Amino acid sequence: MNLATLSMLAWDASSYLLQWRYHGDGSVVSFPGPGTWIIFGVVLMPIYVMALAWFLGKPADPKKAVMGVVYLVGIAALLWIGMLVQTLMIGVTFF
Amino acid sequence: MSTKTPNEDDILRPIRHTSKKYYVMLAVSAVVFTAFLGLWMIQLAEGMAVTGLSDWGSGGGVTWGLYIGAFIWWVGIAHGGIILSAAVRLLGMERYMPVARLAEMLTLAGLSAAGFYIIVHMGRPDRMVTSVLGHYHITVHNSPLVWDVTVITAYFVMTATYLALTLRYDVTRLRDQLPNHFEPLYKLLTIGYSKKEDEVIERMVWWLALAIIIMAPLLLHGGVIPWLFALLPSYPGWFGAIQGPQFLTIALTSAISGVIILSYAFRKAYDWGHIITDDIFRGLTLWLGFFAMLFLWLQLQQIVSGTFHSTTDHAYATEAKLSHPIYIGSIAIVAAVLIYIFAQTVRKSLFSKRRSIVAAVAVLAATLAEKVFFVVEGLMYPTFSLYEATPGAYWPSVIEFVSVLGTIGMVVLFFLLVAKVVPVVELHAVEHLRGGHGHDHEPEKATEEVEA
Repeated sequence: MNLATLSMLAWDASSYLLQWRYHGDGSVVSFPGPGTWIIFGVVLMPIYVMALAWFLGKPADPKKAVMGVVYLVGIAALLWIGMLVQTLMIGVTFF
Repeated sequence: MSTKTPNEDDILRPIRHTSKKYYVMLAVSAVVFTAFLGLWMIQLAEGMAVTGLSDWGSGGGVTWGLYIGAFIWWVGIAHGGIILSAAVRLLGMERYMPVARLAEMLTLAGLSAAGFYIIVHMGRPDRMVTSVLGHYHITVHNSPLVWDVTVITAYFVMTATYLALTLRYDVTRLRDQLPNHFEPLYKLLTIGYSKKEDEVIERMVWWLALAIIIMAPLLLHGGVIPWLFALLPSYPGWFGAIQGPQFLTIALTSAISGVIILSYAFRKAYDWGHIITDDIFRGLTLWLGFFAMLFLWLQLQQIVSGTFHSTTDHAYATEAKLSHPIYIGSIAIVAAVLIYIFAQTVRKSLFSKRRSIVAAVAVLAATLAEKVFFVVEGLMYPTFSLYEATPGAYWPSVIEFVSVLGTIGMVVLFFLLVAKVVPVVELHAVEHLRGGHGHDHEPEKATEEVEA
């Protein structure tokens, strides 16, 4: 398999995975847009600062900082896994 | 003001004692909530046709109505809680310490009601996963709706973490006086607790409070939620940078109102006049007045810019707004509350807790009406009167109206149940009121490490 074929395959795979495609006017959908910068670069910034301060601040206790992160991730997972289970149940029951 | 000294028995009273009134409230709120769930089942079976909403552009009327207005309203109420609590921790506003945890819980309950509204409004609940989560990596780049879901999830998670971390101190020290049937929960809440952690947890909670006080008011209710509307130039009733601050003032007025009502209910139910003092109500009422003033000021900005040499579409939307009794009525109510609050600062005898409650309920009613009106009118008056060929009106259906009562019932139920499990007033608050400034308790199980 030559390089051109490989790159074509990689291109197609990324298109499939990231679901990007061209608009009629030549612009691309599904690439990082304004929301990517606003949400992950600005709005969630206080969370990054907080997490850093948990690990770097004094008095230090990395175990408690990890516990805090587990709380955050665990509660978020509970919320969305609950929604996922509900979706699966709806799927099984109605479709 | 009462001269009684607050103690642990006071804050444990909701857990230990159950009155007849408690059962009545539990039954009423459960019935109301269940009634809405029943009606929601009808909506799930019949589709959104059972609401007063229509198809965009072709069916006449509007696609967003009371559900979205009430969603914004609940998120706004949710804000007061955690902001008040964060202010106690960050700005040293210790006067409000006794209502801080109630306020945090109001955030969780309010956000749950708001999240429920999103699910109800989507028509099919599974779309939360199949449409939002399943395509998150695509939609987050460009969809304000997905930003909204992201930030509300973050806000809920941060508030729950805040509550969970601060409960460790209380539950450990009061464990022997808490009911045994919740033992597994208390073990989970205090897992790995050691007395040495208090200082570290306090520092972590401080940073959490800082993150929340920046993110929630400025970037959620003053950011992502108004951006659902303010970024759409073809809707002059919605468009414009002023919506961020305007939404925030509405959130803060309704939030403080929620805290006033909740504090009054608990004070009356558990004889907490010496914990949730008159002074707290005076302070909260003043804050309500201040935020009501900002709310009216920003409304004035919108009216002036929409009436004085504005573009045709903007003038048309503003004229429609100013001629509607719901808008005029909402603004008049908030103005009346503001006048009362100013008057009672000048003449102290005009203040009473009962009047504060009336003011709070009035503001909550006005902000709900204004928010629903804002959502509907924005869609009714788009640029170029896009949908003039398919005219229609919107009036919420019975199911939509009952949803408001149902979510209020859900929030009341939440408080009735949570108050049976953990103290709704922080132990720190009792210690503070007694004159010690925290940490004057040894854990009941005075161990260095309480292993779960």
